[in-house]
Amino acid sequence: FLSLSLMTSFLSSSSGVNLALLRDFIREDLLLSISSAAGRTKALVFDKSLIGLLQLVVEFSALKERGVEKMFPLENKPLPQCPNSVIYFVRPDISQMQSIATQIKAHNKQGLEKEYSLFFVPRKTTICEQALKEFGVFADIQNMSECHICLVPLDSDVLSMESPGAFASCYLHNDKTPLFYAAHALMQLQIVFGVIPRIVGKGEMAQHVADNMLRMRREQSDIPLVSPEIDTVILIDRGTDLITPMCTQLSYEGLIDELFSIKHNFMELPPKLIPASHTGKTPKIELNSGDKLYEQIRDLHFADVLGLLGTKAKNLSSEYDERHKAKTIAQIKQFTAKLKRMQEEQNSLQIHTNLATEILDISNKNPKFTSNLQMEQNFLFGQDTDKSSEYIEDCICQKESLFKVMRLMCLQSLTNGGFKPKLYDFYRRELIQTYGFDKALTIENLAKAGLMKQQAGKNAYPYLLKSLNLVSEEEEQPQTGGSPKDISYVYSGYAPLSVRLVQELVQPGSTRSMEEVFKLIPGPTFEKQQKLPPGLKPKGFSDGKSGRQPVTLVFFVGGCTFAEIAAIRFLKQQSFAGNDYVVATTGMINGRTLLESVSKQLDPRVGGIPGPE
Amino acid sequence: LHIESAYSAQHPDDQSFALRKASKCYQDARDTFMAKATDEQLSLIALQKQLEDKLKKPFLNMSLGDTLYQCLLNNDISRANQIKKEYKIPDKRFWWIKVKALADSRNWDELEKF
Repeated sequence: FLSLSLMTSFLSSSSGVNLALLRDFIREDLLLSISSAAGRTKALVFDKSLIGLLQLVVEFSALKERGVEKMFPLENKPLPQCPNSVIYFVRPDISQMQSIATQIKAHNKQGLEKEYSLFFVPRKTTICEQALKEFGVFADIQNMSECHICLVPLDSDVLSMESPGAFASCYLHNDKTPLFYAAHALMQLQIVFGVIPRIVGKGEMAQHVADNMLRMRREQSDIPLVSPEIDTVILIDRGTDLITPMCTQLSYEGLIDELFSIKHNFMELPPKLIPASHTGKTPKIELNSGDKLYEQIRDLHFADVLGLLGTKAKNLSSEYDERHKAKTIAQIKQFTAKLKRMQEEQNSLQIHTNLATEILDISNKNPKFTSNLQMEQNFLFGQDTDKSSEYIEDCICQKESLFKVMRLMCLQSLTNGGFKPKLYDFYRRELIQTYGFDKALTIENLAKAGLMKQQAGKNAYPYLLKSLNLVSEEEEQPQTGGSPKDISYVYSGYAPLSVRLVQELVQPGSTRSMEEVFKLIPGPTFEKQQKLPPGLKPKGFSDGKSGRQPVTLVFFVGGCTFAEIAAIRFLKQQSFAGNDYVVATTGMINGRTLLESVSKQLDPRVGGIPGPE
Repeated sequence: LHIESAYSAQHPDDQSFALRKASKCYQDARDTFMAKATDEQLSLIALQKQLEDKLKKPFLNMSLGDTLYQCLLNNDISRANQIKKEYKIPDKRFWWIKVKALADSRNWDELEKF
């Protein structure tokens, strides 16, 4: 657990909706749960899949204040020695119940008397209670309750459920729990920020979320009377746009994620980039807008980052030089006041200059990086998508990383509306013979998820390409220093389909005018209104006085990429109508993590079994 | 389903048994591609067992490409050619594997012959 000192200060900045409120709300709930448990000293045992959520809401010191002495991830084996009060935080999942039973039984065997509290995140289920009874430990748990942690802020304008497997569980295992949690999360948001009047969305899973949410609203009458701060929620199903995550992200933050991977806002620096001053410390750095420098560069196209960093460095050193001019005491005081900020800035500048240089090195030294991008661009422009790609063949021959190969194949399949049978068989054979027969199951999963499949019906992509203006020639070659004109800069010329959908859906009534286009994208399009509690009006902007901008919440069901967030932040800056955007997602993903989640099927815990019907 | 149990099975005979069942299922479902792929995997396992006995090296659970590479590494050129024919490996991929194997085993004479 790392310090959240930065969090509180930056969460309240920039965006129209103060997400810190939501975090405080969740935090309060969590700490209250912990305080409610008996005993002065406590052990906290948590579900591994909740680490990210907990880490983003609460810092260890706050837990310590409430008596938490030790923390363990929940495993199916007895606990090490620990205080007498044990608190569990778990997902309502049978296998977790099994682990809890194992631990309690082990204690009982040793004759240890402990107090157990169990909190389900976010909901208690009867199945789990039943399971605990069957395992014979139900009576041992004194305190059983719920803790509603669903959606936590990653940044001042980004919320995440931190469950990156949501896509796979919905599309492969037919397990809709993530959608239920998402609906729950939206309910929680509405408790803090008021009812959201307009709901639009695209895609089957997105509709599930909307329906669930409306049902919960009907069942729950005690919505507090808060003036709505969010005007529209746009639910975008990942299934409607699988193309985007298959492309390599080219915004700075996106590239960091592609090359070094970002987890719960943190990245581990590669060893050689750790500044000498950092010896002994963990080489992890926090990536969010608490770092003012990072906030400025994270969403830029990578080609522009080093240039900006150079300018910053010059400015900073000239600021340092001012100290020579400082003569009067007042001036010196003024300078020392700035010093701390300048040192922070210098530190961050050093880290990011090193990091950006390293990324440049990787992309320059490795000719494959460029040819890979070239290949992606060709597919996106709809070129040669129907034949076997020589580049992909070469990659297989050289046994390049399976995920890299699959990612390209999926992109080709998606832009071609599936493969012709002959090509499909050829690719499948190549994959199986080179990477092993077990990959046959992965291939079946890809087909199930719609990522790579045999052609069926007409290819919709060329039409989408034109009508939604997905690729623009202009942005293909980013002009260094020039400011981008369209969201397509985040993928060097390709505008993420998902964000184009957002652009369309944000206009009221668009579901009708764009009907033709929407029909070509899988899943239903929907638009619904929620009635406000009587006497309440959306805050501010309806009377036109306070000048408040309408706020749109974009919820990516099934995950989104950093580049997509960059694109939405770009819309925020561009938008003439003065729309403000907040992004929510089930988890941050990129092409590799998405494919990993889809191809994990030899893990015995996974229920859905692919195979002939 | 049977493929999964094949992968959880340790002994190659159990693996083959489960795979034979899988192949039957695929045939019933008229998935000719997967039926064929499963059959090929069966014959690959048989081949790998032979090679293990002969060369006293582990071969099981390797992909076809890796098996071929190991054959070439052990300078079993005729066997490699036979594998290529039997599994219809495209020329391009075969040459890639061959060049890599010959280079790795420093078999420059054979490499010259191309």
